[in-house]
Amino acid sequence: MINNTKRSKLSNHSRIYRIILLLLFIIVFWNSKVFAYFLVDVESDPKYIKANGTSTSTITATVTIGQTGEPKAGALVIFMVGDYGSVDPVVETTDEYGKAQTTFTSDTTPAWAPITAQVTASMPGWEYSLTYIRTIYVCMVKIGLQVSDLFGSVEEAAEENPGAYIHRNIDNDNANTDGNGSPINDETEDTLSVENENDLNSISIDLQPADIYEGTVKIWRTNTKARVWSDSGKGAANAVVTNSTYKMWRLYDETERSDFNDKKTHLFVEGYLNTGNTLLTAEFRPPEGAVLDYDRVKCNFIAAKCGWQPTPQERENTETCFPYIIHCEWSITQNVTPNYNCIAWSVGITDRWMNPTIYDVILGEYVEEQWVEGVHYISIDKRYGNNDNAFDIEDDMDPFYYYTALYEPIAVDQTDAKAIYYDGYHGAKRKDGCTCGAGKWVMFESKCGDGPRIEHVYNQLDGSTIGYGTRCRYYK
Amino acid sequence: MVNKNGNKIIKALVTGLFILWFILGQNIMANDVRNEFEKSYQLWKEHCKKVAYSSRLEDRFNSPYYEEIIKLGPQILPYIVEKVRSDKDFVWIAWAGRRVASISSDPNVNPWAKESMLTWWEGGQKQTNERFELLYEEWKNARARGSYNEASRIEKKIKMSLGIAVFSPIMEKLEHGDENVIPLIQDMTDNEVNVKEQSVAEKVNTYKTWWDGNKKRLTVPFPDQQAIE
Repeated sequence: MINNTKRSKLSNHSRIYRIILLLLFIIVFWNSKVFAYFLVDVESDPKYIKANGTSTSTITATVTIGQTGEPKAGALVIFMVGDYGSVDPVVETTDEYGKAQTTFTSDTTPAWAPITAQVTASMPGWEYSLTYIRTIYVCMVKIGLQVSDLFGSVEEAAEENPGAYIHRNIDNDNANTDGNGSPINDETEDTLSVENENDLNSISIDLQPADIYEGTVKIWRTNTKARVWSDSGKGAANAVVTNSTYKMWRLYDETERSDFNDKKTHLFVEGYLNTGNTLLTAEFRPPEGAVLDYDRVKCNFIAAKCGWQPTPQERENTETCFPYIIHCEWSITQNVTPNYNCIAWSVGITDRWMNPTIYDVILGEYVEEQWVEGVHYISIDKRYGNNDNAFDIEDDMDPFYYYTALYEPIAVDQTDAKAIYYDGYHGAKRKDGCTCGAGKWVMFESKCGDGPRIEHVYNQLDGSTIGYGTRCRYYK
Repeated sequence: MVNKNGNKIIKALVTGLFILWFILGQNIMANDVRNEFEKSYQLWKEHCKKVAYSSRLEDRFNSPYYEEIIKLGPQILPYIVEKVRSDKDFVWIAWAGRRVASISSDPNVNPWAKESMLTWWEGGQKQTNERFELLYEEWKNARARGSYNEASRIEKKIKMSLGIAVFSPIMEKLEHGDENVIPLIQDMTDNEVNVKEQSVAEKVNTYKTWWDGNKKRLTVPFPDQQAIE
């Protein structure tokens, strides 16, 4: 019992002693001014710079004497960086205000760059020196706007010139019609999602580093030709930039930041109501002021617009014949008429049907021409060719083009051809003066049998199921 | 008396039934033809829609349904004309009309090739007869001048421009004793009727007999045909 009491007393003393020591230790470390000889403070101006390898931020280390708070002149400050960027100078001596400055130059890799200021001090009468280290972070920001267009992804260097080529959304993917059976262009539909919509191109905002919780991100357009959605099928709930000129996300607001992160890689741009172009810009603005970084894409909206869009039935008829024809890239330039065919139209004739040969069943002979219900049918073989009751390209087609239009089969390809002949008996005419495609498409025009006349990209009638065959001759 | 009256009643009933049967039979036959025409017409139209984008004319006519329409013969011409009137988007039906009527569309042999089917139809047999008269006079004059090539050309024109409807005025002339038409009939029938080594009188009889048997298939049921008969 006695031993236990003694032990208990000793133990209590020991505890008190330990607590006092602990309190002293805490006081010393808590109030560093007591213990620290120097105090080092580091600031960056600005905190956010562009990650472009040239932007700079001024780093200022302020050294003060711990006990008095007076500036410490003549202290050597060593500035150090981590994996990103560089500082110059690396070593600087504090001035009369205790300040040493260096310039941090950004890296091209966006990141939070740590910058460390190190000051070593020897206390008078001490044989030891103390090293003080302070680290701050500078954010090297990069914002990118990436877009894919009709021809693939757009290289950074080409984003503003020539830019991205995107359909003006004039087609009718969901086959909706108005009360008169006319097609309703998809660009005018935005309340509900458009079924089968496939004319919007993806666009994404890439803000780096990802862990920025300050400032704002904005995407804006220079005119209303572009609309931005968060779903390729559109729909009012997915509108991002449709009625306003921009959409801004405040990154310091958790809800908006979350919305931005959800949508930034799932954005879709639509060409709206007009061809021409729009500049789309994504920008980052740090909390302290002006736009720091932006990326811009020129969106060129293109569509076959010389004619009008087909009804669902006309579209089905055409697509059945031409498997490679693409919505928005063809239009009807004249309604169905049996008065002329493709070969006639390839030289601009609209009042005769040019057939390879014509056999008159009643007469029992090949004839040069026929008239039925006001339509004039001409045999190319008999009128222009070698009149051998058989059709071939050299002896019949070439003379036809020569006699009717002075064309010869000497064009190199579609780029300089006035007319293209397909070996299954089809002719297409260059669509003179057509600016559809803004130079990216070579547009031709074909009269499809007794069906409509259409404008189309030169190669989109290839592989026809109606026997047009292959492009084989280019006339000019 | 009773028996006599009974017989009369029975005879009247039998006659009445026969007439009824005849009329109904005709109607049923006509309806059958119309139905058959409609069916083939729709199927051919469907075919033409499928090949509408083809640049070759003949793709429209490479169809069994087109051939079925042709096989129905001149009796379907009123239906064809009806379609020409009502189904203006389907112009190819006029081709069937020309084929059934055996009229060429080549303006070199048919001076009226450019006229529409409706003009031809509404002109009726009367118009065909008038056209025939004109050409027949030319033909006779050419023969009288000894211009047999010219006569042959006119003969072709008569055949190609007036089609089967020309048989009616030709045979009428034969009926009225104009034996000049015999070479025309020979040509028109493509020598289908063998009159070799027959005398003129025999030929006349042969052709009259032949006409009696073929009148139906070689007569165009023009709107005015009833009046002419």
